[in-house]
Amino acid sequence: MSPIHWLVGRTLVSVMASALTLLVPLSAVTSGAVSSELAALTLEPNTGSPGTQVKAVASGYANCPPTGNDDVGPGDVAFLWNGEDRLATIPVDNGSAVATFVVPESASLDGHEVVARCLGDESFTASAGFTVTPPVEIPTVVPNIVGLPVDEAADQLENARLALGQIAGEGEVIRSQEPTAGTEVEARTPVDVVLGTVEPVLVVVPDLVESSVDEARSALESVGLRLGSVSGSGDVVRSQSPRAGVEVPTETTVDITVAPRVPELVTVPDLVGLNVDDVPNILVSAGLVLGQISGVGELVLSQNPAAGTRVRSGSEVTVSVEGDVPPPLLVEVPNLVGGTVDDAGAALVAVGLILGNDPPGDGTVESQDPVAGTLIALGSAVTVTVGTSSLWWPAAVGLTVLLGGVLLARRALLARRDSTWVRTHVRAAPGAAPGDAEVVDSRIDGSPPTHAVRIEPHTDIGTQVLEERIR
Amino acid sequence: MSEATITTPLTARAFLLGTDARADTADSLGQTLSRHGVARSALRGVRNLSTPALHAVDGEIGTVAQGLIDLDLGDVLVAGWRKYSALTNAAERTLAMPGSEEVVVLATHRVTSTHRPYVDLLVDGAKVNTFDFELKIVFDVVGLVAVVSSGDLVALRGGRCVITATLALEGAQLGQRQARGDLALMVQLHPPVPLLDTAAAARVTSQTSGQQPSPQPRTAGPDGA
Repeated sequence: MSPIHWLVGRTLVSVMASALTLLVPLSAVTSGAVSSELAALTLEPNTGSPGTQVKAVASGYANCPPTGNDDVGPGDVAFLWNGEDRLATIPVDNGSAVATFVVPESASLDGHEVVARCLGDESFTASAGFTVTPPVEIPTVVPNIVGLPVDEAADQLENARLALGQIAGEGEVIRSQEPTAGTEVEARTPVDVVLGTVEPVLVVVPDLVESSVDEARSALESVGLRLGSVSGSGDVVRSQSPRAGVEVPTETTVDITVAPRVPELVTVPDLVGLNVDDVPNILVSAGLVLGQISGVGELVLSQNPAAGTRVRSGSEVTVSVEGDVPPPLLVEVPNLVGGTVDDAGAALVAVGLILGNDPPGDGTVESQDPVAGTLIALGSAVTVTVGTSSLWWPAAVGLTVLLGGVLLARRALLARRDSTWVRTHVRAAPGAAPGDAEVVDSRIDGSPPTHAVRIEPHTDIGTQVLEERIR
Repeated sequence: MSEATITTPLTARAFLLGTDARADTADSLGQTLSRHGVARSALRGVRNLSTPALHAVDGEIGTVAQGLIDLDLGDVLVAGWRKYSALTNAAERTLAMPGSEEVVVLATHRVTSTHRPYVDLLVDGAKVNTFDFELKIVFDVVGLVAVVSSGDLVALRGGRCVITATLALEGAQLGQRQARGDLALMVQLHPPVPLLDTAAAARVTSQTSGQQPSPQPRTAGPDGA
């Protein structure tokens, strides 16, 4: 084969191949025309008011060709409202095109047609009906228009999607309304009004002092008043205008002045001497709290701050405690009479007492105070009185011993007859007054008694002295 | 000195001389007087009075003396508290506000009650001597809480008390005793004990007769605030 024959042969093959290539789309178009009969459109929902969102699904558009000169890629499906207004253009995906659109607000309340049309081949067209219904009415609450001029009332009603109804009576402001304020009604419901003169409703201004701004606002609103200007800085209302207790019309504004909160001062109670277990409750009652407890024991020995101090509410009070209160030690005063002062001092020291005065050390103690046998507190002083030293005291001692012997002998003599003598000679008889007693020394032979001894008691209700102890 | 705790109402006589039979305590006091030679000293100017008679006089003095100290310790303490402003103020407030009650925290305090009864000794109608007794009762009170209502002391809570009583005759100590006392048990508050005298109570009542504020419980400190 010559090269020319080879070239001609190749050209013919190419031309034939090209012709075959052109035939394939043609056959496809032919089959697509057949498939376009399967095109369908569904709407979900298919009824609703203007503004309703609708999902449109166009199926059977697998062979929808691309538009223009494009020979590759998916075709586009246009969704049209009533066949004219384009709602959306969606490329075909797996033979379907899904669009979401909103029913036009201008749509009339009747049946409409939604069309899905392949832009590359209008033979792929499907349609579905959509019925536009009236919008659902949302209830509204009737505002309070009593006391307002008609024009202002009409504006408020319009804002509430209501309408001004019949107007009766004469006056500048609305005296009553029907339906009344707060009633829930359908939109565009007319509200009838009666004109007249409205007497102002007076309310008492509440006391706002010491309250917070929020509390003041709530208190005012609860009685129909409004919070006006807030001057100053702080978190507590210090003054207000109008003042509390004044009667003012409702809706009156009340101006307030605020200031920083002043901490409340409380008095620290006296805790000394109390059981530490009781202290927390006592402090809480006083608006205070228990702080650190130092020491070991149950009784409060001291406190800080001291009792009576004015401190901020909630402050801590620290206490120190001690153990059980030891009882005071009492010792018996020894007998110092007859001994020397030096002996007395030594005797006192031996039992934990001290000599209260300073007489000559070689003097003889004639008396002492307190007397021997008295129980006094450990460490107390005992005073003594001394006589002057002289040469005649041995004689005095001898005389005393002699006299004592005589007395003892007489007592022994008398004691022998005591048991019978007392029974027969002495008796205790009731006295003349209640509590009195009488002792009569009588004789066994019936002779008149020698003496009558009367004892008359006199009571004393006593005096009481109270003193607080600083511990 | 006794460390026992007194838990019942007690008289000064029983506290000092024991709770034995009355005759025994009187006899004990009489013997004490005899040891001190009371009658002998007082009647030394009386002729022909026998020693048994002197002992009998001592015994009788002891008998009447024990009657002189037959004072309820709780009553004595309450008498002292009637001078305590924290209590009397609370009494006035609660009397002025019927139904109210105040809990008064009493500070550590001491009530000293001194009684000076005496016994006259007459021989054949003529007074020959006077025996001056002195009974001193000291209450050291710590940590006591008192409840006051309608002007009365109605309850005592907590606290502790040390009671020291001394009986002396003409400066000579006849007896002394110290013991702890449980005031809630010692002080008889049934019925409640008035803290105000009649005049003070009448004054408060007349002042408040025209106004009757609502009851409001409160706690008063030792200062009465």
